[in-house]
Amino acid sequence: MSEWAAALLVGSFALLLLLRAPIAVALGLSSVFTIWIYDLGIPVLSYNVWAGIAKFPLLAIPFFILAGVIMEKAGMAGRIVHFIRLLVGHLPGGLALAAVGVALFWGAVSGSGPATVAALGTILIPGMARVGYDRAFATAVVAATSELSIVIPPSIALIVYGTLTSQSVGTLFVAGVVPGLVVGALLGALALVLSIRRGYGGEEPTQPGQVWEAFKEAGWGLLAPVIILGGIYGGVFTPTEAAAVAVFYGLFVGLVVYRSLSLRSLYRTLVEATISTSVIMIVVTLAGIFSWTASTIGVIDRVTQAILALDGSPLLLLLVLNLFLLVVGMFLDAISVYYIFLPIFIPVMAHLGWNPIWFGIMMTVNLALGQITPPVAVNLYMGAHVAGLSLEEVWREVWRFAAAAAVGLLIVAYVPQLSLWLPWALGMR
Amino acid sequence: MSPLRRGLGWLADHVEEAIAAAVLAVMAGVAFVNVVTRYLVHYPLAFTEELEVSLFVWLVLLGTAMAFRHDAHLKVVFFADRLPPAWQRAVRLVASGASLLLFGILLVLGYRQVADEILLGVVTESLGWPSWVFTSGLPVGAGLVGIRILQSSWRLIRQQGEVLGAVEPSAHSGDVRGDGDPRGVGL
Amino acid sequence: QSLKPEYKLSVVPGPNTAWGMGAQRFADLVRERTGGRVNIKVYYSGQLFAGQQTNEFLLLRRGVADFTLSSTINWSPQVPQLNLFSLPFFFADYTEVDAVTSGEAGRRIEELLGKLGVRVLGWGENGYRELSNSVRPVARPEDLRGLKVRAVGSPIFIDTFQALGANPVAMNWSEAVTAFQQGIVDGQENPVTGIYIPHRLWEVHPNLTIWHYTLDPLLLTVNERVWQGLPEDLRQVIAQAAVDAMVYEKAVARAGLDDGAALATLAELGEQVEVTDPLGFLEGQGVQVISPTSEAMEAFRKATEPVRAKWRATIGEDLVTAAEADKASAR
Ligand code: NA
Ligand code: NA
Repeated sequence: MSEWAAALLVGSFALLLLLRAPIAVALGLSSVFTIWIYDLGIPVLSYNVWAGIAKFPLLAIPFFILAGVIMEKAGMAGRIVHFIRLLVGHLPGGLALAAVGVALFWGAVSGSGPATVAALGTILIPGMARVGYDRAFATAVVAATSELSIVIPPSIALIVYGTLTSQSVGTLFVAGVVPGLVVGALLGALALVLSIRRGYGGEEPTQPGQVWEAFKEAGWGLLAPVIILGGIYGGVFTPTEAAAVAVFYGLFVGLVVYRSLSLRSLYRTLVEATISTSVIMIVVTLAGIFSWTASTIGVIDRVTQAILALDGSPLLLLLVLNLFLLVVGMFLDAISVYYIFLPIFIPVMAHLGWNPIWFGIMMTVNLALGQITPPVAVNLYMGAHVAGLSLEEVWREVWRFAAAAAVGLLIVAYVPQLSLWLPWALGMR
Repeated sequence: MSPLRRGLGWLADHVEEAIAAAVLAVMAGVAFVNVVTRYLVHYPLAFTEELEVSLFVWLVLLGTAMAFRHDAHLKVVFFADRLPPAWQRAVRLVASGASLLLFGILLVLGYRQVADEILLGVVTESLGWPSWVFTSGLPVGAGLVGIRILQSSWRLIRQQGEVLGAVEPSAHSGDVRGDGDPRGVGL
Repeated sequence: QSLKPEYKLSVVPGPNTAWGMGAQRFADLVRERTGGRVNIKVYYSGQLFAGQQTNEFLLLRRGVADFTLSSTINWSPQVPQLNLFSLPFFFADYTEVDAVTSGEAGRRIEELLGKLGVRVLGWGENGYRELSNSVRPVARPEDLRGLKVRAVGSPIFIDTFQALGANPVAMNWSEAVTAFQQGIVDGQENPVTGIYIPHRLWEVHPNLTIWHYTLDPLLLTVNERVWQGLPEDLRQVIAQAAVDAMVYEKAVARAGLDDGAALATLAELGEQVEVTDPLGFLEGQGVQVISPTSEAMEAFRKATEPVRAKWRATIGEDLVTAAEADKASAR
C-alpha cells in the first residue's frame, strides 16, 4: 500500500503546486485525497488543523511579527538606518556595508526575512541608488542579508524547528547568533569588495555631532534587541513572553516616545500582522497534516531506513543532505520543509549522534538561503516588489551573494562548534 | 449611499479583519499581562494559555480568509505564469476550486467535530468551558475562507481581457496590497 | 467480513516506557496468536492525534485510531466520570486500585464507555503520580505553599494544587521541560518510572515526594465498530491477548515499587526491567526521596477534602460510592 499511497500523496501535491494553488492548499488537499482513498480516518483533518495551531510555543510567532511591524511603523527602522548611514556612509562602499549592518541588526528584531526586506528596502534601496549604486545591486544586498533574519534570533523558523523537535527555542536562539554573524560577515565582505571594484562612492562626510544626534534618536531601536534577547538569555523571559514584551516596548516607543503611531495606524498594524501570521500558520498546520499522512502510510519510516542503510560516511551524508535541502529550498518555504522532512531527519540525527541544536541552525541557514534562490524566493520577491524591478534583474546581482551564503553554510555544517559554543558557554545543555 | 449602508458594506467586506484585529490585540494584551503578573504578583494566570491558543486558531482562520482576499498566500507562480493568458485564467480557477474543496471539507469535518463535542458535553482542559465555544472557529473560519475564495473567483471570471493578477484595489489597504503582496509572503 | 491490512493503535508516550512496551506486547501477541491475520501497528508519541492528547477519545470514536492504550486523564474532558482516578488521595495502595478497576466501579466505567462506542479490553497502569521539585523537600502541606507546580491541564488537578496552597500552572509537556530548566516552574507531578526516570528529571528536580496522591490507570480499548467487524474466533484471541499484555504492562510499571509481586510476575514471564529498585537508584543519583509520615498524609488528605467533595458530583455519586465499596471489599 505504501508505494502507491506515497505516489498519490507526492504526485497530487506537486500537481497542485504547479497549478498555482497556495502551498498550504497543496499540502492539505493532497493529504485529504490520500487519507480518503486509503481510509486512514478523514475526521483527523479538523482535529489536526486545530492542534497544529493551538500550541503554546507557536504563540511567539504572531507576537514577534506584530512587534516587528509596530517597531517598523513607529520609525525605529528608519532611525537605525539613518544612524548607521551617518556612521559609515561616507566611505567607499560604505553604504553597502551599512545596508548589511542594518539588515543584521534588524534581524535581531524581526523573525522573518521578507519582513526585514520590507522594513528596510523602502529606505535603503532608493538611498543607495541616489548616490550611484546600481538599483539591482542594492536590492540584492538587502534581500540577501535579510535572509539572516531567520538565523539571528528571534526567528520564526527556529520557533517552528524547536516545536517540532522538542528542543528549547531559547537555546536555538542563542545558537543562531554566531553563525548568523559569520554568514553576515561573508556577505558584507562580498558587498564591500564588489562596491569598491565598481567604484560605488560614499556620501558627504558628516560631523561627529550629527552622528551623536542620530545615535540618540536611534537609541530606542538599538535597545530593542537588547531587551528581547537579553531577557531570553538571562532566563527572565521565555521566547513567547519576550515576544509579548517586545510588542509593548514597540507600542511604548511609538505612542509615547516618538509619538509616531496613531490609533488608525495601530489598526492597520494589527491587520497586517494577522495576514503575515496566517500565511505562515496555515502552512504550519496543513503541513502538519501532510506530515501526519506521510508518516501514517509508512513512507517516513521507509525513507529513514533507506538513509540509514546507506551506511556511508556521515560527512558525505551531511553534504548530500545539504545539497538536497538547497534544491528543495528553491521550491518550498522553510516551514513546509521542516514539516515534511524533519520526521525523516530526527531519527537520522539520533542514529548518527548529531546534535539537534547544531542541526537546526545548519538547516535554517540552508533554508534561509532558499529565500533568495528562485523560483520561490520570498526575499527576492519582496525586494523586487519594493524596488520596482523584475525577479530576473535582481537574480543577476544576487547569485554571487547566494554563492557566498553557500560557503557560509558549509562552514556552519562542518564546524558544529560555531553553533554550540555560545549556548554551552551560557550553560545551556 | 447612506452612511449606514456604507458602514454595512464596509463590514461585509471587512468583518474578519475587524474581528481579527480585536483578537490579536486581546491576545497580545493577555500575554503581556501574564508576564507582568508573573513578576509582580508571583501568581500566573493559570488559564490564559488555553484562551490564548484557542484565540490563535480563530485568528489564523480569519487571517487565512483575509489572505485569500488579498491573494497573499505563498504559492509557486513561476510555471503557471508562463502559460498563455487563457490558460492562466483556467489554471487559476482550478487552483481556486482546489482551495474551495479543501476548506469545504474542513467546514463539514469541523462542524462534525463541534457536534460530537456538544453531544459528549466535552469541556476544555483548564477553563472547563464547553469546547465547542472555541472549536466552532473551525467551521466558521472555513466558511469565511470559502466565501472569500468564491468572491475572488467571481472577480477572476468577470475580468475578461484584463491583466491577470490585479486585485480589486481596496481603499484601506495602504500597506496590504494584492497579488504579490509584500507582507504575506511567508517567513 | 474482511480484515483491514493494518489496524492502528495509539499511545501517548514513546516505546521505551511501560505504557509503550505494553502496547507493543499487545500488538505482538495478537499478531502471533492470529497467525498474522490481525496486524496492529503501534503509533507512539501521540503521533496519531498530533500531540493533542485530549483528542484521542474523539478520534478513536471516529475511527481514526482502531485501538488505543490510554490514560484516564486524557479522556476525562470527554468522559468526566474518569476523574474518579484523579480524586486526590483516594487510592491508598495498589490493592485498592486493583479492587476498583476489576470491581463494580470498573465494570460501570466499561459499560459507560461501551455506550459511547468504545470497548474496554483491559486495564493497565501508568502509575502513582509523585511530586518532584527544585526548591525544597516537601514533607507536609505547608512545604507546598507558593511552589509553582506544572500540573496536567485538567481542572481537578488545578483544584487539588490550589487546595494545597501551591501555585498550579497548566502547561504542555514540551514547554514544561524548558520551563523546569530555566527555573520558571518549580515542580511537576508524574509517575516515577514513567516520566521522572526516563526524562532524567532529577537533574532539575532533586526533591521527590512519594505521596501516592493520584494514580492513572490505562485503558486498552477498541472502537466498537472495528470490534464488530472482526470474526468471533479472532475476537476471543484478541481479548485474551489484551488481558495478558496488560498483566505484563502493569508489572513493568510497578516493578520495584510494590511488595515484590511485579518483579515476581516479570520473572514468571521471563522478562526483565532495567531498574529493579527505582527509589534506590534515584537515591544513588543524589535525589532526596521523601515519604511523608502518616500524620502528614492525614494533613494532605484533610486539605484536599473539599476537592473530593466538589468532584464527587461531577464524577457521579453512584460511581464514587461503588468505588468505595470496591475498596472496602479488598480490605
Ligand atoms: Na531574527
Ligand atoms: Na527558494
